[in-house]
Amino acid sequence: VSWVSQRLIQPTGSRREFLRAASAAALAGAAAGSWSRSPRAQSVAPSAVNRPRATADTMILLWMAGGMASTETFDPKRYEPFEVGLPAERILSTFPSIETALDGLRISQGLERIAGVMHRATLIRSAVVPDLGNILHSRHQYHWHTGYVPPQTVAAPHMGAWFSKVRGRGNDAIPAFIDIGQRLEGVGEQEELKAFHTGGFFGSEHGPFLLPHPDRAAQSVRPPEGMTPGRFESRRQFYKRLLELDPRLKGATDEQRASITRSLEEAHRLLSSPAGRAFDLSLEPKHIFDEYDTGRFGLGCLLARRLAEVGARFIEVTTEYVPFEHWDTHENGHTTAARMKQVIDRPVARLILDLEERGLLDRTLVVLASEFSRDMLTEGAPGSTAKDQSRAPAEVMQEMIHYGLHRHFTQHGSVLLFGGGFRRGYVHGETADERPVVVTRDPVPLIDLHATIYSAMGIAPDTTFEVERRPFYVTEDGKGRVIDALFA
Amino acid sequence: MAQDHPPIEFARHIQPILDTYCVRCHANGVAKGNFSIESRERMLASKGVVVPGDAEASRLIHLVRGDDPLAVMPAEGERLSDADIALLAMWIDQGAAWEKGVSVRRDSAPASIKPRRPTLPPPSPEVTHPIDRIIARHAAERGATLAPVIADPAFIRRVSLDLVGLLPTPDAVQAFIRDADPAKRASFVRRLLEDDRAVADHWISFWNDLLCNDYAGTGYIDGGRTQITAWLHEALASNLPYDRFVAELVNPSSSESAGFANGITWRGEVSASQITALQYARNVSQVFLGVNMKCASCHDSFIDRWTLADAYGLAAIVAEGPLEMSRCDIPTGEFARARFLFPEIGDVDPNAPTPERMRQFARLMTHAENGRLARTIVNRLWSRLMGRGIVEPVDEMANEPWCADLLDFLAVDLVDHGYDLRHAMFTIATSLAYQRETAAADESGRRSNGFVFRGPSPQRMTAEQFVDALWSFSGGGPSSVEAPIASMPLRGRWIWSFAAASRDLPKPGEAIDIRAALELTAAAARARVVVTCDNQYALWVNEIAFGGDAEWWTVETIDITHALRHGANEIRIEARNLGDAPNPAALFLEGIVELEGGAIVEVASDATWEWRPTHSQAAVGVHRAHWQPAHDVVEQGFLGPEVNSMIASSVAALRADPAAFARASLANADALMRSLGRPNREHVVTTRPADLSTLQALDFTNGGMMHAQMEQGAHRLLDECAGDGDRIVDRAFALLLSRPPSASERTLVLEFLGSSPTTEAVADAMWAMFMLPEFQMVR
Repeated sequence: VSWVSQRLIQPTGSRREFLRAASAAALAGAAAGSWSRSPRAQSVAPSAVNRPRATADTMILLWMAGGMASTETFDPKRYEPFEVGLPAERILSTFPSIETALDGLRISQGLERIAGVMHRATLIRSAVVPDLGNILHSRHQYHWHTGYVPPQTVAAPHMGAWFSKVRGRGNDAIPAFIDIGQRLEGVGEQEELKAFHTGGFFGSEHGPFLLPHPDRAAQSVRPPEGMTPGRFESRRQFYKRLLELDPRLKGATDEQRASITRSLEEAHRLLSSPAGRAFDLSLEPKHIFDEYDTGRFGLGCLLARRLAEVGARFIEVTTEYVPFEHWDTHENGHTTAARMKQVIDRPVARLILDLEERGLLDRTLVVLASEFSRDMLTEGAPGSTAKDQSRAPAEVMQEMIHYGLHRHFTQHGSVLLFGGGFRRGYVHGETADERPVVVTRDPVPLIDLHATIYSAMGIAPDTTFEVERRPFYVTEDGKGRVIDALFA
Repeated sequence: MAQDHPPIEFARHIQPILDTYCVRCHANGVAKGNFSIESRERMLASKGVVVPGDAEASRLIHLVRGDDPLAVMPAEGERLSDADIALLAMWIDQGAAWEKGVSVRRDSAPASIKPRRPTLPPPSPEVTHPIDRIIARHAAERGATLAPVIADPAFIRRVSLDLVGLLPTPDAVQAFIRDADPAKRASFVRRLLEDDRAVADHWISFWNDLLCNDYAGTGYIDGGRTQITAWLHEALASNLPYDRFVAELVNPSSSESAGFANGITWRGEVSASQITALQYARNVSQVFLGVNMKCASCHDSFIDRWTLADAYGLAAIVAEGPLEMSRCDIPTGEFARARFLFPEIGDVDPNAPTPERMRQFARLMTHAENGRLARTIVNRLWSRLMGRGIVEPVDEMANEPWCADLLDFLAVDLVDHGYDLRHAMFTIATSLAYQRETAAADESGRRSNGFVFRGPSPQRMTAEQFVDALWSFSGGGPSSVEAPIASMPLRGRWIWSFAAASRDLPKPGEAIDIRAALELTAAAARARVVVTCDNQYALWVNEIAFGGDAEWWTVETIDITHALRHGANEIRIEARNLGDAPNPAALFLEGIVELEGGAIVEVASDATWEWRPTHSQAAVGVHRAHWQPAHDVVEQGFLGPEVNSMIASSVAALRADPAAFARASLANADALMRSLGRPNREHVVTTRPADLSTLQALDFTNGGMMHAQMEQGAHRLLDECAGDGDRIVDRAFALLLSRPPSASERTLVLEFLGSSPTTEAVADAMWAMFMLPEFQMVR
């Protein structure tokens, strides 16, 4: 409770905004007084940081890694049950649809809990991403997370790094950008995953705080394993005394030396702050823990809720990208999708309700998205010559392994948004009822989705930083357009 | 009303504003919108933009004020402040006077790229080194006092880290301090630079960053990228002259060196500006010429003189077929014409076939008149060794240097010495300029040429330097080299109990002892062996166990020094085949023993080794089987290229220096190294971040790896010092800071360690020392 009130007393970001305004004024004064050049010289200099009025202070991105098929989840089409001999071309959805709490809206079976909170959601059914030809998931994920299609000539920052850089920490003791559930070692395409799990040109200060195992998150904000708090504190005291004997630190010092002691102090503050309790899932009542516990993703949602409560800025929770696993259904898609829906249904619904109960949903934006959707027949986009990557191609169904959406599809996609100033109970866009299931109304290109999300979080789509003397925009060329219809 | 104000002076008030906001697009040969401010005449030639005497009638004022939101100047970047706008308006109202001789154009046309041989200031008895002669004049002209020269311990630490990336050993520090030779600093620099392996191991990180080379990374997954590691390491170890080095990279003669020129091919479609030919154009111009083509590879640059046609002109040199130009990803219908960036020294024949164009390009890159090549690399070396370039940023060589004579001297000196990069390093590191205390520069003006040199700039250790220091302290470095740095033939052979042809494979569960005798004519000073086995092994030397491993895809380097003795020795391995059915099995071992006195003895598995079934398999009551000759297995490379390359690299590491551990630069980046700033190398990286970030500090403070290394190092230190607090303090300061502790430091550490230091206390004290800025700073 104290964490929440702390957040309310000191509105997030306000101190930082003040500092920014103050330093801008100081620079202006210096420039006017000394005729010196403007401070463009820094390697990453803000050229224009426009700040629309934020409708959200925290964002939770629920990442359906591997390509979640919309027609098996939030945009169900005609259902064809499995039977031997069923032609593949008839298949659009392999689940029946169910009613939701929003009148007239139906989603896919297996998402009953989420269906119960759909009257709180904005559902975009018309998200489209560029087709990049022969599919490499990590490339599309890079694009989704940075707004830029790789390769790029500079290291593009992850969305979380933008929030960290521009809005800063919401709580001084909690890293601004927290990434839950994705391992970067020991998984396929790990190098490609590392390429966008970074602060990019903003530097490691704004990079992700990685928590691949939510149940072990507490360890990452505690002294090293095997070190008692007493020993940890005495080590620190010793360090400070030893530091005082360093003759170089007396009087004027340089920025690099100063950054060492300053950052170590920050690290210590983080490791000794009561806010660190937010990382510890064992403090959660058992019945709540159990409700979230559908595995690492579910527990990640619980951790995200706890971190949102203490003012984390951006939290991503992923079902984890591992090639051919989870949502990446190259075979046996129906069975896998059924299991994945079990993984997400309870924790996602619980997360929304918990945030609302705590009065946090208004200022917390929850986004559920994926790099693209899937189709039974078409790889990539209609007319694409991209290599078919299905591992169970079949013209007619023989076994269950054939039954499911095993091709990547870029020309429609569902994105779910809750809270953070977005409309409640609203469906945006529409897709065709027959193949090709392309968007038929209000397409939302990724760049506009990003513009809308960034804007809700208080960052204008044309916000730009200068890197290597060229402008780098939060949405490509600053051209993302905010979709006003999505806001309450 | 304008007369109410004091007169505006162009040079003092207006020029800085124009320099900051306007010259990028409207001077230096660029005239966006056909508007130039290079001179008053040219400015007034654009009618109505500036109307002398009437600011309100001047379009310039409306543009910078943003009266029309769709036409605001500057078009990119930060806007003018109200104060700046008021000054401009007053200046125009007062008649837009422009003092004679003042130009906003910073240099006449693009500066010549040709070499220039500066006249060195005369030497004085105190100042003889050419760099110091230039610096002395530079400082005198600016009334600057140079920082004092550092003492021996600080010098040896700085220069060792800078040139080979390692802390000096306490013995080396002591020997250096005792050495009375007045020329000892130069001798020490020379000795460091003569260590081919150490120089290559250190500088490969610098080049990997520049050349987008790594041992794992994006693009390797589907063959869209190849390494140049083996070629690069060899080029650095053999000190390949820089002109030949560059020629090979821009016009590769083999697949070994082609990775840089070929760039990264991503799966799927990429935007027009990311085709590999344009990657080549950008990377070659940035790395070797300090020219940023990133803007121009998509559209004519807004910030410098380079155009789309320039970028495509370079790309067309390597393109295999006709190359259509795209502007902002939209095809223009025009085809690129191969051309060189600096036609004043020559050009490529656009009609020649690709290999010939690349040959011509390589010749132009290394042409005697191409002074830019040498300036760019000596500036990079200066920046690495001094913490700040003579031109900043180091990738924008068109910027003015803070001392043109210094830059031009270093460049011609490099060429005079056959493009010998180690000579350039030697020249810099032996100057007094290098040996001065650091002077924290005012970084707010990092790009301006107003920098005044007083001493080197501060610099933190790189990720690799820190991790090497950590590993050498703990003895806990990796046991094999991941970088494929060598393809030299191995002495060792894969052996087993029989030759194991494919029809006749070892049985699952077969367990054998394999042994070799090793006669040593002296005690071993250092001995390490590289071992791996399919499937499982355990190593004994003179019946002292060294553990083993059950993973055929890993390779171990094991230090066996303490088990060896003068005279006869036995190496014995218990090897076991696993699996459910007959399958290939074999053992590999190769190692080097360095004897007291320096002699080297090699040891390698081959058919002279012997085997017998392990004891547990012999039937009870039956005599132990006799030892029999082992056999080379038929298919030597059966474990595949990855394992073989790991073996080759690990053995190469032993051969070069039996005492060396696998360096961080040759390992895949782990989480700690990434956190400390080792970059993903899919982009050219020429400058790593300087400051320690909070996330890095967190890794230091609670990271499991850091903690484990501290405990391991503490064990070692306690052993070496027999648990004695005083000795631990001395040893730790010598190892980590290359100096003895002060009295107050000694008292403080001893008090913390207590009368009988525990591993925990030592580990914590060492952690604190690793966290000292004094430790983490190279200078």
